[in-house]
Amino acid sequence: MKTTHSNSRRNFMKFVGASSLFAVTPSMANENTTPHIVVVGGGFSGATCAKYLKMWGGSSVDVTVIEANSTYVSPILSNLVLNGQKTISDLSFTYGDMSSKYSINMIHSTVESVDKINQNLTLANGHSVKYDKLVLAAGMDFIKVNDYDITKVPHAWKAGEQTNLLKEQIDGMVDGDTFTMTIPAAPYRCPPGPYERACVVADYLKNVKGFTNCKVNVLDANANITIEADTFGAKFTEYGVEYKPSTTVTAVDDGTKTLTYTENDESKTLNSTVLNVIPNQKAAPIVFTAGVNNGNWAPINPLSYESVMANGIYIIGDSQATGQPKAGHIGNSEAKVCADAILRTLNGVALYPSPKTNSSCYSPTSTTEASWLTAVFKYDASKQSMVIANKAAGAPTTSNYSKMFLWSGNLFSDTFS
Amino acid sequence: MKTTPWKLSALASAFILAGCGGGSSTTDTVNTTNITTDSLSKISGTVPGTLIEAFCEDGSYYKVKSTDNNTDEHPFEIEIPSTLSCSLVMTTNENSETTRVITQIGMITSDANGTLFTAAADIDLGHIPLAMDPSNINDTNGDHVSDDILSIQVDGTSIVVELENPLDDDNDGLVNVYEDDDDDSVSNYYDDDDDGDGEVDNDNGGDDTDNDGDDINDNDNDLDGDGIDNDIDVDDDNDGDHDDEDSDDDNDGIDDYLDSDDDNDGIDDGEDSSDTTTDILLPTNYTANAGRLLGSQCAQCHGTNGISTNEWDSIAGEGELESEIFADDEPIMSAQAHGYTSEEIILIGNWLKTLKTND
Repeated sequence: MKTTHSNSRRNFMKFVGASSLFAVTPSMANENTTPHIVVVGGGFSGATCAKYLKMWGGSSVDVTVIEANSTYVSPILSNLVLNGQKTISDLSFTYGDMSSKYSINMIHSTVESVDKINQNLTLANGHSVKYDKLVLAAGMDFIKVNDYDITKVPHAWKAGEQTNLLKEQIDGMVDGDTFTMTIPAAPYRCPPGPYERACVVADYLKNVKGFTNCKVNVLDANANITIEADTFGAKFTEYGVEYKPSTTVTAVDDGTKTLTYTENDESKTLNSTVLNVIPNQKAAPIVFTAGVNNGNWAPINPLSYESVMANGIYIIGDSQATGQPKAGHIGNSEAKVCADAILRTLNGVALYPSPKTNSSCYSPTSTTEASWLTAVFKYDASKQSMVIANKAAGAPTTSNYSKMFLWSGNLFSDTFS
Repeated sequence: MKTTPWKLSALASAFILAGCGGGSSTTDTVNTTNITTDSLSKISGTVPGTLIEAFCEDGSYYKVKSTDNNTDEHPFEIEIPSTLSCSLVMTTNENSETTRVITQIGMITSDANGTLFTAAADIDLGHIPLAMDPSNINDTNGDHVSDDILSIQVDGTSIVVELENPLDDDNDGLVNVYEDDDDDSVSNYYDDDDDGDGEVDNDNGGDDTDNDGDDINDNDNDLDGDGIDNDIDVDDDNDGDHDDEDSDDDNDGIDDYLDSDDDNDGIDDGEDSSDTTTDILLPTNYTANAGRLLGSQCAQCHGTNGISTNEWDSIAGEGELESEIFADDEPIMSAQAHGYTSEEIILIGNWLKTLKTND
């Protein structure tokens, strides 16, 4: 119930000077236009942001999602396509139900330009869209070392066609063949986890295909295994994975499937039956188009995810430059903080001063076992950044493998339903 | 939401704002059939002869009348959930249209004041010298609702005064149900036609589906106008009966089992998505809620609004979060729990209690 009163400010007689504690909320009803929030990208962070903006803001806001694809394929669990435990259709989500349920406008197109002064987007389909608040949730982009054909050397990092391509190549291997993957320098988006992928493929070749002479090489740009080092280190030993840390890929030849890389300042080459190069990463192109990047990523205020470089533009998910992981689960988490912050701002309410986010990930290491990693992040006001409040990890077990699907099931539904 | 906990000894004194006249009042004690909760706090004190009402953040409603002990100071006790934020309103001469005086109660601590508070333990408010004559209050529009909030200085353990009140949309301190939307000198509470459009409000058994005249069909969202949407309001019609126990949720005089439209939104129950447990009822405005913001971070694993889609626990309606969250033997849950402060867990727990379960 909204009320407008001539004497709407009641007196707190005991504290005459304290009435400012009751901030007056500007009435959205007095304005002719409902604020329009445009979310670019319909992945874990973008879909969650749109849903929660409407769930919490309801008819007081209009929300539009601009997403190129009508179907989204989850990178989470996509390594399980490689070993045949899942199919791409198991991991595919459409937007129809959610957009009608929450009254979200969907536009399937891409943004070509951002006019920050007039708050206007020009789309590839020729239309333009005005916004009051703009949320960029467009994932990440690759920094390739040279131009090569990704249908021959797939990254299989953006799930879907690329994942199926890599699976076909792996299924084409015979005993004695070599699978080589490269792991990008941190920070990179994960899942699909790179160390997890090496384990899943090695297990598949050895224990499902029964190949005892296949070789799995992992060339890591990082100096060490960057996550769950104990778990993956032990699995690499068990599977006989050849792990080369501190390697830098300098060239990819898609014809001969040859990698050129440096290790200990020495340039080397390596041939492989299947080559899975996962390039280094940077923010999505729209972040650069909008001019809200500083280097490869977009710096934001963790209380709102608003760009520190442009008012009214928010960056969530993989492209943002906090130290938080770049993953679907925490993208969903950030999206809720962002949605609430936008609604607070539109309603003249101060930002919540101590938001929490969390990251959780179950990682398959075979067709029957998975490990897990979880962390809670809190806002550190002195550093003005998100820091870890608590974290823990669990070793690969069959029980965790089952729980992986309970986790992903609720995560998928919280995001896309 | 800013909250200010305090930890001082239990002691209270009241402050009067306007002179108080004489008069008689009814003094029967009425205990309404309230929602059964695990934990209640007793708010007590003495008053001239008064109807005491509590409006709580989950939409629940409690009332009691003071007991006539043949003195000027009639004792009362009202029990409210110790984990929910509530707002108190006191009415003297409540049965008389001409002499009733309605007073919104505020709570003052050493560093905060507000009209919404959570009482984790019993509180004795002492004597509250309420006005008993409308001529003794500031009442610009003549609706018998005091323009002044009677703020009570309270010291006590485990009380939290909140600065944002979801039951008070215009943030003037007075709960929505006692506003006077149409300025006809009759507060909404006593007004059968809140917006003065000539149609009797549906919460009063009439046909007006837009009680406040804001052109939004409010009964879909908030039948009783308390600021809490029906889908999370445990007492849609503020009759004091929890909807789970209320045989007539919408107070239309038709028992639910005979009523094809339990929430009186004009949509037949069979086609009414808002009547199902998976309803998506979008609000008409945003209300900040720290517990909801923090608690939404549970949804990745426990489902949107605490409703799990699989065999992992649903946490909607969870009543014992504080004690259970650290006892969980699932290591991933335990690791998450230890990332939150006890204050945050209380906020999350309070929000979870407001969520509809899918039982």
